[in-house]
Amino acid sequence: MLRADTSEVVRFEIIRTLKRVSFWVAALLLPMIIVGYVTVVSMIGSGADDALGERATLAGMRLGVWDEAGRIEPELLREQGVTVLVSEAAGRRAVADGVLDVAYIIPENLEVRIYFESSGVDFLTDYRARVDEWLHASTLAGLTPDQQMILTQAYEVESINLTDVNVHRAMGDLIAPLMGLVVFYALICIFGNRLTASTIEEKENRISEMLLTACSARSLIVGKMIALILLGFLQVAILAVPVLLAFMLLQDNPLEGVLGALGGVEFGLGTVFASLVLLLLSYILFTGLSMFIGTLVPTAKEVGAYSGIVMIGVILPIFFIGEYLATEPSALANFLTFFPLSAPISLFARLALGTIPLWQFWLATGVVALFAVIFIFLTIRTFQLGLMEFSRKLQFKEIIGGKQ
Amino acid sequence: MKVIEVNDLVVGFGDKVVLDGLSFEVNKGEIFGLLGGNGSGKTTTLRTLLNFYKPTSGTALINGRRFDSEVTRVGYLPEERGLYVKERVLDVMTYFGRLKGVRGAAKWSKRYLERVGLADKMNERLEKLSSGQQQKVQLGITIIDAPGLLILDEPTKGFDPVNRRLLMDIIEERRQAGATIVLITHYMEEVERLCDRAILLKDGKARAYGTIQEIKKKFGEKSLDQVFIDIYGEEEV
Repeated sequence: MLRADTSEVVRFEIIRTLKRVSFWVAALLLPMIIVGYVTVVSMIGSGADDALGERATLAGMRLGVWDEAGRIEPELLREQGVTVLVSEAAGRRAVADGVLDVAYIIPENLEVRIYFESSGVDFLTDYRARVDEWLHASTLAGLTPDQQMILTQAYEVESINLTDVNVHRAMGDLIAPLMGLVVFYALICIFGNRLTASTIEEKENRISEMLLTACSARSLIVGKMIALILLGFLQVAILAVPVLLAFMLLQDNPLEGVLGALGGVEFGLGTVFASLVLLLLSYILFTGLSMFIGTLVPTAKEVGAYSGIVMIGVILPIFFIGEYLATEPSALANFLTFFPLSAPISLFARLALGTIPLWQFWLATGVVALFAVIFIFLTIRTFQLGLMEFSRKLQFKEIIGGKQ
Repeated sequence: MKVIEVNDLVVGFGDKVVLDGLSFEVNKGEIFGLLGGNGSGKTTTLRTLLNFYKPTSGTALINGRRFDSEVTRVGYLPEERGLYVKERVLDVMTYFGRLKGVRGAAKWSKRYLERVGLADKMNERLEKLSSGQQQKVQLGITIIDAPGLLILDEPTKGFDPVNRRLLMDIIEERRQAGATIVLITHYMEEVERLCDRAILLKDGKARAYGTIQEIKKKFGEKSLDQVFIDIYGEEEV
């Protein structure tokens, strides 16, 4: 149960943030860009796909073929309305005169030549596919059914994994942490500055003195933190809902296949729980750290250097992602897993890849939780100590020693 | 009954001693003047009382203990004044009122804003108000919970005579309601008119302390203005 003044801080911070146009602009900008992009791509795509598809399959084009060795089944050519040529020269001339669009020359030695006149977008046209199709089909026609099955790989193969791994479950165990990673990354990108600025405002505007006779620094900082976490989750919802709606409403969308495949995915409760706990603790850690930086410096202008260092620390694991792939991760991977700043992304990655033992995961998550608490404590302490420092940056020894 | 007890208080910042063995008391229900020149230690005394600064030695107690906002309600109008300038006047007043546990904070705020002539500004952002108008809002926040102890650091600074009169009326009302008031001001006529007792600081030490009559008597029945000049030396004032 929250203290009354903490609840008031939460309420005030959330309401005033939601009243700001800038919040909604920032919150809706990305989803709108994604929805807009998907809509445009889907609209353009549907028209262009028809044209490109026709071009790629050579549908409607006048084709001719000179098959010197008679490898291609005449029946096949007849079905497709392909003109049979008498020589390479005849084919070349027919294309040059505009009688044919494409002439295929298939000599005895199989050094195939294709004549066509460029329309400027021929890089999209797969001329070779048709000759492959003809030769393949004609060759198969001369083989026994067994030989045909072997060459077309039409035989059935059943893979039996004796470790009895549930494939759908394994996919879920991969997806849940990856989703956690994406959400965490999106949150710190969108909220990074707001988190840091949240404790500077009181100092910059000289509000602290009046405020701290009305409520304690702890209530203020904890209240602000809860508000920022709730706003973060609102941001996630704002980000997720329109994007999912857009993909679901638009027909023939690029995710249709992916969504279909995801239909069978089973999310293991353990992995989902671990991902959610890690996401929450990681965001609290980042919030605490950002607010701590805000209490260290007297003005918002001086935040940049510190925030940059923090962001580098957080995203460091991305540059060493290869280190996490091995079943026995390197010393560097283990260091990044237990180093508080890089732990969140490292843990999400290793949980997804299944390269971290359970005990190590929870131990490292414990480190994240511990440092989250430490930074909250430091933020409260530094906020109190730096209350009257309107132009000076607090020194570390002052924070530790509590000197004024 | 003593509301404030300061005993042999020393406060330093690094090598600099700002308060040097300061002792005084403020009794319940009185208006107490905390006087002194610039840099004499008045604001440091208040900030130490409110636990923003730690004493190097000695004690500074409110109601017999170190100030804790969770235990003691104090109305404090600081020298360094600021508010959430991007927010609406009524929202900010209501927020502070609710933080102080006031039920019906919005209703009280509306009544106060009507009284001080800011009713038409209640939905304006604070940044749209003049500094004097903002100061009235800050005063409202200071007294919104009718605190038993009011600490006002130069409350009339920047006020025109009309608003100064309004502030004096409010201070008098709070006194009538039994509140204890600590007042920092440079206007000695205000001190003579309002305060029961006072302390005059120089270099972090008490140079005069007692009832206004006692202080004046000690300095040969001079006015407080003259007492101030005598202590600081005419050239320094």
